[in-house]
Amino acid sequence: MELEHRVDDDILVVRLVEKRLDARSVSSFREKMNEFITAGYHRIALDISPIEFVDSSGLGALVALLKRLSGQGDLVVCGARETVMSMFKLTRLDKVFHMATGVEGARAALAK
Amino acid sequence: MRTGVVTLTIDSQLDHVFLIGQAINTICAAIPLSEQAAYEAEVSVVEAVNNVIEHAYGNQPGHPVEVVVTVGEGNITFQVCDHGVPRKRMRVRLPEVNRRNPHTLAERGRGLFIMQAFTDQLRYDRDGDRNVLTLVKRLPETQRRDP
Repeated sequence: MELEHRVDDDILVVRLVEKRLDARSVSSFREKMNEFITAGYHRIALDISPIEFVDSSGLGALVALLKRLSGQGDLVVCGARETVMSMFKLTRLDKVFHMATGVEGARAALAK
Repeated sequence: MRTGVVTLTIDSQLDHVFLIGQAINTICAAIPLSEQAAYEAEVSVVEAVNNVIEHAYGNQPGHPVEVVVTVGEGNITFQVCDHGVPRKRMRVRLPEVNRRNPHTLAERGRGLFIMQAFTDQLRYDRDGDRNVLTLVKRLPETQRRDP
């Protein structure tokens, strides 16, 4: 799983480069996100706009990330396509995750 | 509309499941189903194949996982077949969502719920030593008639 990242005002902006967050890619995604958290980044904007496909494994990896940050930081997921968003809505995870339409919205939410 | 049957087979490795998913999406787009409906079919079949690899075959490679796709007059049917350990039960339940306490959120267990929600029929059968999970998605009314 290839990720791009940058740090803006103490906020880590991570962009998923690949098109699928699925059972094949979740292990490396979890590993890389855990490295960021261990390195001290606790406010994360996760740009999933390139993602065309997410399955329950991918949702599970995002839940794990949210749990890891809970109490010590914040996570905003942004850029979900309609089809990907339908997965969040179906599983009611749209009620749990802070979702933003774009990176700027995510950064603004994390800066509050 | 045109009808037909195609069989897709992969080895029991999670690394290969995307091939099934992309083939399903392409078939659905060619019918044509909407982008959302094609996505729903793709994710439902991918969940079923993932389950076969993880549970029926215990993440062991070297076993075939077969998906028979039948495009019919009024629906598209996916039969996900394996010769692994049979399912003991089909528990379709969405894990609890407690927005106030993320630590209680389940990281697994949504696959069957997604399959049921995104298809119109979900059935599990034993056919000899073969396990068959059948998923049926109805086609929109406009695609059931010949042009």
